Amino acid sequence: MRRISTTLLIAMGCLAAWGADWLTDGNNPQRTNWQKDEKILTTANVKNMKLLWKVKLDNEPRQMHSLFPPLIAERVNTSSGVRQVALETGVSDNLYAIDVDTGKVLWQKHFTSSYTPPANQRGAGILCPGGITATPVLAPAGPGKYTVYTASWDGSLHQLNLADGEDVKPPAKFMPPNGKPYGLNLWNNVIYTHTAQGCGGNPNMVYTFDLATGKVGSWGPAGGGMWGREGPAISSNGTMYTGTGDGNFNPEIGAFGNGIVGIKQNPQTKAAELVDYYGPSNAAWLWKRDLDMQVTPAIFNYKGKELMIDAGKECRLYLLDTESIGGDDHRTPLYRSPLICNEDVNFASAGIWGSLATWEDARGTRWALTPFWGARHSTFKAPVEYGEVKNGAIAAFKVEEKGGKWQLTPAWISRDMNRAEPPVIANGIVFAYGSGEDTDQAYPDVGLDDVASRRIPGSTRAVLYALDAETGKELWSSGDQIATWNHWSGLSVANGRVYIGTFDSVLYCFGIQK
Amino acid sequence: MGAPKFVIVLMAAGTALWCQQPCSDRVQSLERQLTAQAREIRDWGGLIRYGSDNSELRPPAAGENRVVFLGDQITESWGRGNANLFAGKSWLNRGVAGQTTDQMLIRFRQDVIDLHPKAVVILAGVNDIAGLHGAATEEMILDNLMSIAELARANGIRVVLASLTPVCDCFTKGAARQRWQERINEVNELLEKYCARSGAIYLNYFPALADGDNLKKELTSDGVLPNEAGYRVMGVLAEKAVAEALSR
Repeated sequence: MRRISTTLLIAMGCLAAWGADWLTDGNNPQRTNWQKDEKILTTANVKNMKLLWKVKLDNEPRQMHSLFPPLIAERVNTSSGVRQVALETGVSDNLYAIDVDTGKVLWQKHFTSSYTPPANQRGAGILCPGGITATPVLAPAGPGKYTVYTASWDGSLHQLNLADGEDVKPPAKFMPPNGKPYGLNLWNNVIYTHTAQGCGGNPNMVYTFDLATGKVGSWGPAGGGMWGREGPAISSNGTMYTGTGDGNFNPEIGAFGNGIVGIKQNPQTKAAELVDYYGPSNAAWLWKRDLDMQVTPAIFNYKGKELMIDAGKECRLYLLDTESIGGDDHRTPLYRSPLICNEDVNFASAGIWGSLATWEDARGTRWALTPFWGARHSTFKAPVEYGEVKNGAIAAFKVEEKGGKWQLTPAWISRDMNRAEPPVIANGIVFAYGSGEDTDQAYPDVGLDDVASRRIPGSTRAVLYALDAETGKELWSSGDQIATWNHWSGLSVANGRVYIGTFDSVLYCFGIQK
Repeated sequence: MGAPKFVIVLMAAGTALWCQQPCSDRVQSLERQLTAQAREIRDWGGLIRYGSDNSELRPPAAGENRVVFLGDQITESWGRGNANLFAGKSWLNRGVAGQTTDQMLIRFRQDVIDLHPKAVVILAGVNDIAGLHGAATEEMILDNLMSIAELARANGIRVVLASLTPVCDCFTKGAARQRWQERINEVNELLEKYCARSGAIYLNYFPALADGDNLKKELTSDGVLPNEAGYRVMGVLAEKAVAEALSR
């Protein structure tokens, strides 16, 4: 009954709103990063995009984390009328609701936490910043009404009213404190996330929270943490997929490192259960060289199949069939691309990081996009390129089936971007950015020294780009309008506006002036 | 501005104008060199070349006679043309262009021991003689090859040590490679003696490829690398040596 009512509410929300929402990381549970409902920004007018406003928030950065991609609800009934609201999350356990027409903060909330990291465990560091580490998720709760679901540092799941920030239910236990969850996802009244880096001595786990019963399920890959930036992607049958980080891939002993796992909530017991897995044929090499499969997958339908793309630091794209992601032997994807970048096998400053994107054009061509860090691989070519890539770029592929075999055909490689971050597609435009982050972890003079005090001064500024989605041609850039850089963040796009937050806790809103 | 200062400024401006294009090319060339050298330092042993491929290999099946060919570009190029020694056999090419023996020692575990072959065929040392990574004496070359051979034997892998192949100046002006010939002969003498006392098989390519001390012109494409005909000559000898190693 609850499921029916939720579906009905979502349908009502869609009918009521002619505009676009961005309710979850990647814009949907499948993490396509495709804003299908954008009507205002076009390839013709994006050249006129301007900085509409920026707002400095009082969120204190932790390590290199600061702001997460904002979530956008187009029509929210607030006490001051209907507003389009951005929910911005700050790492220091902060939420901000912002009126996107003015850039004014409507309300803000800070979760107080008595949690103190224990001694002698993986404590504060770039990998374990503490605070909120997962983008929340919004769900329609009636016309003009949305519920915010967010996991705070102490491991609680909070449910708030987007209109005023008030609790709609008391906080509930979701996971241990300092678990470091990633982008929350919501499917059929269940919240999904996963954790990584063993922060606070916690094991790396998938967590599910059943909103109807409050029951929590968990499952762990025995080793590799799961750190796809946008959290898991969810398929049409409710299976969540995520890549796994550094660890042994040996299913016989229950170890699923450097692979991809599919987890589903058991509807009867509410337990989280492993239902499918894939291990790249060179998983042992990936483990040996710290080439995690740490990218949030993207799921889409094409030619009657539900397909998934995923990637990792090694810098390959994988195309998989959600019916059976690795085939009978769990080691055979539909397609594995050649190396796109990372010729030097660099575990820190090269490879594919974050998340992917996929969209379908008017002619029915299905596209897959990946960001990558560092130089293009010397053997990887695309028909359309825009100069030498030294620091990163976006690579676009066409998903094709030829003679019964699937492939990802290179289409274009964008201009150079300083640490290219996950792209978003909206109305024929690819929005992407170079974060400007210093991503190095080892230095000739001191060796491995992955500390924020070294990397923050080495970081520069983020630059946002608009590219033609079919050709990769640059249509617009923010130039030097963004003052600083960001780490582990992303873009949101809705209703003629593109949002990006930076390390100094400033949220920028670019768009077309009305 | 006095006359001398004016002249200096004029010269500087002239130099800057003259330098613009050539200097830009030079900078790009230096950048490429720096990138290549930085890459070599970061991966001195050349572990990236076959690391991923190795991880995809299954262990040898029972009764399988896996053989690894370890070497430099002479080995790496073997099998690219028609003279494919490796087709249809459980033989693996683990040659890396430009490598010296110390680099091969570093990657010996990853590219040979971990693949569990029954035998290894080693052809290495000419780049050491050429001084690709600085001067190397014959004794330094032998030290590295002995270490490799001992690592192999300690892991139950039979060792075939190949003579260095001859070179010639038949495609180049001057006599640069003639200067290598004496040293090649010295290394080969040391290798033959080491094989005799250690029980390794000495695979002597040299007499079949050489006319005197020179690599026969009809067997090479550039005076160092064998051509198809050269590889065919070597292939016959290699098969015989491997058969002998496996029979022991």
